[in-house]
Amino acid sequence: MTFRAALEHTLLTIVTTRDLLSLAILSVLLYAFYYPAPYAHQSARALPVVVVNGDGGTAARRLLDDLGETRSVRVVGEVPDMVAARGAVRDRKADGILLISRDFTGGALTGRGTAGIALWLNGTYLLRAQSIGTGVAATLAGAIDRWRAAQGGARLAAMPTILVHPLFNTTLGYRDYIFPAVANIILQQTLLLACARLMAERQRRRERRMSVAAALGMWAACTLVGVLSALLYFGMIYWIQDIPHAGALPALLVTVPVFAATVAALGLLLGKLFNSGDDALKILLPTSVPLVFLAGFAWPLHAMPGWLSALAWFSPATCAMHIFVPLNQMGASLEDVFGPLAKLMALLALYGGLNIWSSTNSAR
Amino acid sequence: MVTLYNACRAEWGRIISTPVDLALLTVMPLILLGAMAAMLSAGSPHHLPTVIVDRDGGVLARRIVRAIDASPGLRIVGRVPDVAAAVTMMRREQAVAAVVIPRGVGTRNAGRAPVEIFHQAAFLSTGALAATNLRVAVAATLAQYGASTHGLAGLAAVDPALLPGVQVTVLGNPSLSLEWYLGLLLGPGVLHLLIAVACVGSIGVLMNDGSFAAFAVRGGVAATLAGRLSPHVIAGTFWGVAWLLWLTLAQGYRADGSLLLIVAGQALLFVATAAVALLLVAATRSIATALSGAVIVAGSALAYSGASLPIDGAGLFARVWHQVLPLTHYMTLQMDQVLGASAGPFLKAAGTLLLYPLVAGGLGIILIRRDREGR
Repeated sequence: MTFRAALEHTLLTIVTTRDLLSLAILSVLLYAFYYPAPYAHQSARALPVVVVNGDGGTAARRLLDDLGETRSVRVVGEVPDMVAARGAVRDRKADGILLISRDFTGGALTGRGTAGIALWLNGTYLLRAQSIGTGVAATLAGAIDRWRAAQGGARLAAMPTILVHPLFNTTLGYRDYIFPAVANIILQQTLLLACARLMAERQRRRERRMSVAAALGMWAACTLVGVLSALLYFGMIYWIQDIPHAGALPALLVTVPVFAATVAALGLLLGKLFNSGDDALKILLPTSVPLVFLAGFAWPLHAMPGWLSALAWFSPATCAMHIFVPLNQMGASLEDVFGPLAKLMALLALYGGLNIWSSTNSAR
Repeated sequence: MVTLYNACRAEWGRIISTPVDLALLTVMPLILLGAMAAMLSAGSPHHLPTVIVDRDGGVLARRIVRAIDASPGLRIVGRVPDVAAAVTMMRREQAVAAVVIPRGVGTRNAGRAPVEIFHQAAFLSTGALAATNLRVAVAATLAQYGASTHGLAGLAAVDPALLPGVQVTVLGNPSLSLEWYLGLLLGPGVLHLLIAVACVGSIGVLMNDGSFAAFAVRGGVAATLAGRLSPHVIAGTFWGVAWLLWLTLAQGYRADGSLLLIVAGQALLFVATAAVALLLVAATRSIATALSGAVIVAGSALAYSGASLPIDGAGLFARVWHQVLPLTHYMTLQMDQVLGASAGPFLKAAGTLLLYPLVAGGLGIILIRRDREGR
């Protein structure tokens, strides 16, 4: 079979075989909307907090009014004591307790600031605890200061002495953080599984050996599907989902084919280990969740044990995450992502070489 | 009961003689959970690379740099003359945060030139952690030097050091350990998908050319299916318990509630997983399509569970789907027990998990039995 015939035959097989079409194309489209949906609101909202207001003065009232206006915190009730407040947390009606002590107003008036405030947070969900902590903290200083000024006292709040600036995702949006990172795994796993299934089904039919031209044609067809999927995500899907994107088109045109070719080669190679497409899916599907985390998006690669981070780089999605997130979200240039790109090209040589070698030397 | 027992024995026999299915319940959980355990073993990421832009060079500036260098969460990887060079290092992932120490830091005019922290937010969790560590280090140094740290509160995260004057107590995870938090999410998340895939494979072998007629005609459908799926539920619970023991006994974390109730919740989760897998195969009549369905249900279940970003505020579909997925209710049950919640929330979550074998499992059995009638 010639290169062109193999390419056309593979493309035709993918679009006419329900399971391959579903993996390689329909899943890509589905996950573009399915995965970001639970993160679309970007930040935690209206987390329930119960208040024990031992003060009852106007400063405490002002504080609670201000707290009610924040996006992340919702005061779900005032209870008389800590026993009742802890009961509300244990009954899962609140994720936090704000205790305002008896001498809070006096402390605020004499400039003791936030002394007299205590906060209990449900730390089992770290993001919720952080969001409540941030919401309460953001409210405290301003509320006390405005109240003091209204009472005729001097304002305490000078210019802050420390300023924090988030870069590349300036709104600290959770979807804008998660989806561009996970998109690399979605692109890898959909293509990898389709290629592995395609090859495993050939194995099942005992169609094992092929010419170099045919092996290259098959690989090129799979790569083409991967390139189109990636460009769809980095172009239209990011635009539709309003994900920050830097428009590094020339760099993407260089890097995307390298990524797609690497994943396709790995998928075709792994497919040869199985004698049925279903078996290939059964073993490869469950790797998806660990591969997301091993790529270093929530836990940095340098903080993993050395042997584990070295292994993680063998997943093309790890390289992709550290190429495409900088290119798409951080305004990086091709030179900036040279390190992960060099690793990806090494993987391309390794998996590509092994794929062609094993395709042309398999036992008849 | 005999049918159930015989089916269970037959399934163990099939698993042992099928390398792929045996691997799904033995080698795969060992490798995948082992990798996650190794990844998280440091407790929290340390030595986050930080770059310094020191425009002052005075005594206080040097103290700030020393405090950053001494922080176990941070590691200084360079000193550059300006912010642009620092941002380039962040783009190249050589640093996750930068500190700009202004000229005249700590003097009367310091308020007009605050210490600035720039942090990576495209990889948000790492960047935010570095920024928190930096704020603690810088604020402590400024406070020692007598400079006002007023205004910090507005920037504070959960770290008590950033809420000056406020007593903060964190329940359920007092050390704010990422290992404990992510471990509680990842173990069940990985096993949920593994067992879903294994169950699809197990039900799939009962099909012949997309039909369950030959299987259903023999009778005892419900008992046979329960027996066939039970080894997978047992294996899932076994690995779930092993993971829980790793986190608690080996790594030293502790739940304020009952570990036994968490284990009971795991068993319910894997029963629910098996029931959903049964429905997927019965409805699609294709192993490959059912496997794709299993990934949609179990593969993204962590995202929809609300255990990272709470789902309140998301669109209607996400909020409804969040309630439909079994992992959501297991996560609620588990985290409630870690917190030491009362019996009411446990009963609610456990009761919801019991609906899956009744509704999804029942529907799957009805669909399979229909093949017998159509024969």
